[in-house]
This record gives sequence, structure tokens and C-alpha cells, in this order.
Amino acid sequence: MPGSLAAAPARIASIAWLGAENALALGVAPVGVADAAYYRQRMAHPPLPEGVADLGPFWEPNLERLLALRPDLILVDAWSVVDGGRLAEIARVERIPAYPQGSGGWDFAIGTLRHLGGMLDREALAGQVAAAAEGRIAELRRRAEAAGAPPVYVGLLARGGRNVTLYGGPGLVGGVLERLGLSNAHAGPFSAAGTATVGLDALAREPGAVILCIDLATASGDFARSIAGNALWRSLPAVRGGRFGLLAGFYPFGGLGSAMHFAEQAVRILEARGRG
Amino acid sequence: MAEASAIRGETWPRLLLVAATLLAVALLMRRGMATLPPALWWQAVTAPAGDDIRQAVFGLALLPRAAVAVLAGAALGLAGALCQHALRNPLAEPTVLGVSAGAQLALIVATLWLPGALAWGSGPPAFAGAALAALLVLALARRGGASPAGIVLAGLVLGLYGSSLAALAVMFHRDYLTDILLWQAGALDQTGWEASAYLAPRLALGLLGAALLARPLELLGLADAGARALGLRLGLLRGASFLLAAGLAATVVAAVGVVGFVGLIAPHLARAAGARRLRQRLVWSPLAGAGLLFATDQILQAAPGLAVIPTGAASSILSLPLLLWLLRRLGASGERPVPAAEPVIRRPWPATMAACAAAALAVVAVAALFLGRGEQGWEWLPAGDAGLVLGWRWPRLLGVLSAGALVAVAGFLLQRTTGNAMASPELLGVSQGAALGVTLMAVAVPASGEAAALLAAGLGALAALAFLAGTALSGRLGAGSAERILLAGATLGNLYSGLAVLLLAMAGPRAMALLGWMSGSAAHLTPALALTAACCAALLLSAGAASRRWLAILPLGASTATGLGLPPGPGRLVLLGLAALATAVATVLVGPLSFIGLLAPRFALLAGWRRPVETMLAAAAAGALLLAVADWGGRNLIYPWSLPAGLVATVIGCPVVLWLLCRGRSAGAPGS
Repeated sequence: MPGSLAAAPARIASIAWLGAENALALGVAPVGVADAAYYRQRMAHPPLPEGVADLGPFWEPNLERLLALRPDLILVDAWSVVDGGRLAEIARVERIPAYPQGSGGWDFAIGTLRHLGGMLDREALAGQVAAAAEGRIAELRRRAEAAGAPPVYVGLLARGGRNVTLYGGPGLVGGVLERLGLSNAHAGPFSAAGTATVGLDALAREPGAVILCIDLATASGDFARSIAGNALWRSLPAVRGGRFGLLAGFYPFGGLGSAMHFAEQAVRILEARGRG
Repeated sequence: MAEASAIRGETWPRLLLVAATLLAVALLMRRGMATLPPALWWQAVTAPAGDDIRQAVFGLALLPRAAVAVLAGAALGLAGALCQHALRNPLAEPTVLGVSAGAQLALIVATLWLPGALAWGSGPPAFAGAALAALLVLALARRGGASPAGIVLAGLVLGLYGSSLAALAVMFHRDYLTDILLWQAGALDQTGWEASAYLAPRLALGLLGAALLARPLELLGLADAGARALGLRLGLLRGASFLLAAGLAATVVAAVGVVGFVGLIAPHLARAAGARRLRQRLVWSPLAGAGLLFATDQILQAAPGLAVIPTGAASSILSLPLLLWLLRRLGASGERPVPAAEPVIRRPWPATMAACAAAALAVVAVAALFLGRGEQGWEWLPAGDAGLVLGWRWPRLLGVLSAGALVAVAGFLLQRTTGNAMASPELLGVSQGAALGVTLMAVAVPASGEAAALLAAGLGALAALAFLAGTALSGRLGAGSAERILLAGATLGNLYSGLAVLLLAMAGPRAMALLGWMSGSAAHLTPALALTAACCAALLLSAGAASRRWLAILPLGASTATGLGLPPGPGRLVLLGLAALATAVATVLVGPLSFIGLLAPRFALLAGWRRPVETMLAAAAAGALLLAVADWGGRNLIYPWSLPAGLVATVIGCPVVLWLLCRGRSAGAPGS
């Protein structure tokens, strides 16, 4: 078929993390990923196999290492500042689009996976993975409804605990919440990347909400410290009511795998809150 | 008559201050009423009901934030008044002088690598950083016998160095990106009274110190000679008030982050409102600062859509019109003769040095083209891919050499024109203009690749150039005016950085890519770009050679120049224009190349060159060499990662520059 790579399995080098995650979901381990060490730290599910080469930072990947890896396909974000012409001298380059305005983050995640599946001659597998995800998220949606479907804040607390970056809008988190039938407790506005950096008092606006906080490995200690002495945090209805949970290893700019990892954890937290 | 009109002139600033404060109070009340019925306000502060979130938001976020705005504004206003008086410099202010950047950098270093230093909170490291920066600025100022503008330039360079290092730190600790951006943008959000409790006693101490220093400082306000006759230990007194200001600035940085320009505006507003004597200003500047920051913060929170803008960044942006006005006034009064040039001494080494430079250039070129780390460790061109790899490496080498030469010559021209050894091309604001262009584009157009980035950088640089041209043409072209143009560019550059930081916070994962790109990268040099750079460098060198009469005569001072039949105005303008264009080209191609423009001309002088054209060529060679070495090192030091060449040059170059400058006269500024 046109646009597919002749020989399988393909050697994929991904400067875009989303591309690496999608490749893993399609059963193809990439030969190289930009900033592989940080990828392993932030996107633990599914884990990046041992031996995947580090391509250097995603804003300036090492072209010579990339060349030495002999990839068939290079995945790069549409917004990347890396010279596309150079990459094209190494292998075929595929740009992963930014979040489209209008259509949700969930459709975006499915779309990028299917697109890669088409390129790798794994359309059927991509279809299966997408269908499984659709089925699973429908089930999770029922469980979320059973747990009362409260509005949800999804955020990352800044060190010091005075600000929080909230996710939603056109991004992945916004799309997943929509699929789970949960409303985003933060009304926005969100940036084109689906983020909003606001003061902690933004978490007080929706008294019945549940707060889901991304847990950064490097910030766990800071997190405990910054909420220990944080009077406003302790006064938040969600915190007082125990309606609060930590999301481990979730990167909010990933693909379908990240989406499912987030959805599973979110629903588990909602259910635990219902029981507790 | 004059008295009466002066008093009428004071009415507007007073009205403005009172109106701003009243507006802020009204907005706060409105916000408060929207949060909590006024009947419960008292209870929310004194004995908040734990189960009422409205009381918590009112008493733990709303009020503390207003208090922090007032306290931080007052501290900055006082710091600004102290700085401006002590350094007799209407532009002096902790952010401008690099003091806030020093505090900020020390905090970042402590957070990332020395968490033990934070055992007593963020105060001690912030103060240590601020004090260090203040001492450096003072040392530089003392050595150069520097003019007020010279001190500010030294401070701005320090500030740039601080933010380069911060960018470098974030590249390897990406988890901290948002936190560091928030600090740099001065977000005032509060979750309790801790920051107020931290600021209040320190502000009180600062006021006490200012009260003690006021009387001797007032004498200092007289001419230097007069004060000396009174037997005052002038330097000590200035140092003490500057350190006090640095302490206040560090306190604000530790409490809320960098809040720019309140310290600059508040004293001017106080003066415009009629506070003529220092003691009056030391009272009214803190009040003006408090009112300004309080009003800015409340307006931001009330205006729809603006609430996401951190207050520190917003206050920088709002101060732009005032700043331009100040610069115009400074231009009218700030004439200062450029000190005479050093005698032209030909030392025996230039020939040897030229041979060494040529040899070094050859070695670096061979290394850059053929030698590098690869999959099998150090290798001599990867076998099999030699053609392709060489095709990438030669444009990179040529581009880096050309950009290094461009920036070095830009620095040489600037230093020659201003007579200031700290006149660095980064201060033109062109780099920051380019950076802002890229960031704006990134936020406005979610999917835009490297071609769009180049275009946006070019447009941003052009906008900055237009601003510089406007400043240059609007003022008189005296000796001070060259420095004034630099100050305008640098201050605008600071504003751009504030805006860029603010936009970066909205860019999601792209922020890091932009930060990397803005730190200077030679990776995207295509053959076409590299050849363009080379042509520009050649053109610049010929233009410089063609203006050798100006280069020789301008440093002799305006009267000598006019006496020799060469009025300095047009020459200054042409040379400044050349420098700005060269900086713009280099920035767009390779990113901001901090410190090459400072270092290279200095090396040329150290090597013994004095004649303008020779010195320029030597500086170009030194700049090209430095940047090529930095780029090669940056590519190989932490393979497969790379460090931006500009950052490597900065990290190595800045201490060298500072050391050379502090070492004193023997390597005086070109033309000083």
C-alpha cells in the first residue's frame, strides 16, 4: 500500500515521545528515542526496552548517532525546531501534528496511532489496539459513573505549592476526561498545549471535585514538604474530604498508552474515594 | 511662575498614584465580596472556620496576595531609590543591575544541587547570590571608574549570564522547568501568610537602614568633590546602600521571584510627585512601589484573560512607556566625554600571534570536520557515512566561524563607539527580540517547524533593530548617546525576556525546545545559511575596514574628532548600525552568542594589537576560533547530547571576561 514501509519490522527512531509510545503499542521497539533517560522516568508504562539508544535532547538530537542507527523512519513533532531537511537525508520523516483545535485529545491519540499503524503495515493491529482502548474506556466510564462521576482537577503542583499547572482543553487529559464522562473542574482557559498554570486557589472553585496530581519522581519530597505547611491546600474541600490521589508515571503529552494509563489510575482513585 | 508650573506638574503623578491605589483597593473589595460576604471577612482572618473554603480562599489567598504585592512593591521601591541615589544613576535598579538574577541563580543552584543550603529557607542562598552579584558590579564599576551607564551595562551583562546559566541548568533538570519559569516571571499567588511574614520584618529592617543612611547619602547627592571635602567615605557609603538594596531585592526574590522594574519606576514616580529631597524619596518610593505593584496585581486578576499572566512579568511590560520617556530625558542630560584612547604601542608579538591564530584555526577546522565522538568512542569520521557527515559538518563549521567573527566585530565596534569595555552585542536587545519572535510564533501557531522559527527570529530581530534605530534617531548623537542606545536596547531586551518567559509557561513540552533553540544551536546550519553567514562576515569586515578613520578618531573624544574635521555623530550611527545588523544575522543563524562579543576584542588587545583594522581582524579571528572550539566541545563533551555553542562560550567566557576586567587597566577597553 502507498505510504507504508516495505520491510517489516521497521527501524523507528522517534524524536517525538508520542511516536515512541505509539510504536511500542504496535509492538515495534524504537531503535532510538530523544532524551531516553527522561522518557523512562516520565513514561514508565509501557517501559522502554533496554538498549533503546538515546538520541540526545529533542530540541537538538544527535544527527550522527541517528545516522549510525540506520532508521527507516524518523518520527518528529510538527512543532520541532529540528531541521527536517537533514533528517530527510537520513530516512523518511513523518511529522506528528499538534493537537487539533476542535477535535478532542482522545481522537488525536487514536488518530496518531492509526496513522503510524498504516505506515508500518500494521493497520489491523492499530485497529485492534484502538478498539480495545475504546472498549476499555467505555467500561471505565461506567465505573466512573458508578463512582459518582465527580468533576476532576488534573494537575501538577509547582514546587513551593503556590501554583499548579492544570491540564485539559485540547490536550490528552481533556480528551480522556470527556471519554470518561467526567467534567474538568477547571473551566479554563487552556493553552494550545492543553495546559493552564494558575494559583492554587483555582482548586477551590469546584467544592465537590476530586484532585488528581501528577507525581514527579524528583518532586516527591518537595511535594510532601510543600503541602505539609500549606494552609490553603489543607483547607481545600477535596483534600479535607480525602478526594485526592497521585498519578504515577503519567506524562500528559503522550499518546493512547498514556491516555489509558491515566484513565485506569483516575478511575481507581475515584472508586477508592467512594469506598473511603 | 516656574514654581507654580512645577507644582502643577506634580499633580498628575500624585493623582495617578492615588487613583491606582484606590482602584486596587476597590478591585480587591470586589473580589473579596465575590468570594465571601463582608460580614465574614473579619472571621476569615482571625478565626477562620475550617470547613468554609470561601473563608480559606479569602484569608489564605486573596488577602495574603494583596499583602505580598504591597510589601514586595515597597521593598523594590526602596531598593530602587537606594540604588539610583547611591550610583547616581536614574536607571539603576536591582533587576537591571543583575542583582535579582544573582539571587535567582543562587536559588536555582541550591534547589538543584545543594538542597542543604535551603535548610533555613530560600533567604540565605538568595541573599548570597544577590550580594555576590552586587559586589561584582561594584568591583567592575570601581575598576573602570565607570560612568553610571557603564555600571548598568556591567549589571545587565551579569543578568544575562545568570539567565544563560539558569537555562543550562533547566536543560538537565526538565522537571523544574515550570518552577523556574514561575520564579523568573514573579508569580504572586499565595497559600498563606508565610511570604508576608517573611517580607515584613526585612522591609522594616531595610527602612531602618535607609533612615540611617539617608543623611550621609543626602550629602553624597551633592557633587562628588563637595562630599569628599566633607570627609565622607564615599565608596563605603555607596557600597553600603547598594548592598542594602541588594538585600531587599534578594528578599523579594526569595519570597516571590523576580519582579522587574517596580524598583525602576517607583523612585521616578516619587520624584515626579514632588519628593525632591532624598529623605522624601526614601519615604515615597516604597509607597509608590507598593501602590504600583498592588494595582498591577489587582488589575491583572480582575481583567478577563489576563489572570494567567504572572505579575512580575506584567509589571515589566507595563513599565515600557515610562522607560522610553526616561531614556529620552537621560539623553538630554547624560553627555559624557569618552576617555582618550591608550597610546598606540606596537608590541612585538602580533606577528607571532597571527601565526598562532592561523595554526589554531587550522587545527580547530580539522578537528571540527574530522574528529568527534561516535558510536565507537572517538573516531576519525564515521566509516561509511563520511560523505553525509562531512556534508553536515562543513556548513556547521563555516557558519560557526562566521557567526563568531560577526559577533566579535559587533562587540569591537560597540566598544570602540561607546568607550565602554562592557558594551556587549547582547545588550542591543536583538537576541532577545529574536527569542521573543520565536516564542510568540510558537504559542500563536501550534504546529510550526524550523523554517517558521528562523523567520520569526528574523522578524523579532528586525523589530528590535527598528526600535534601536528609533532611539538613535530620536536623540542627539553625543558621546553619551551610544551608551544610551545600548541601554535602551538592553532594557527592552529584559522586557522581551520577561514576555518570553511568560509565553514559555504556556507552551507545554515545546517550551524546552524553544529554550534549547534560544540558547543558541548551530545544528540547523544548512549550506545556504552558512554561506550567507560567511558573506555577511566578509561584508562586515570590509565595511569595518572602510570606516577605519572613524574607528581611529572616535575614541579620541567628540571635540578632537570635530577638530579633525570628522563630526562624531554620523560615524557613531553607522558603526552602531553595523554592529546591530551583524548581531541580528548571527543571532538568527546560531542563537544568542553570549560573551564572544566581549571576549574576542579583549583577546585582540591582549595580544598586542592597537590599530583599528588590525584589532578588528584579530577580534574576528578570536571570535571565530572561540565559537568553533565551543561548538566542537559542545558537540562532544556529553555525547550524544550537545551543549549549545553559545552557552559553552558563555560559561567559559564570562569568568574570563570578569577576571580580565577586574584585573584593571593594563587591558583597558578599546578606546578607554
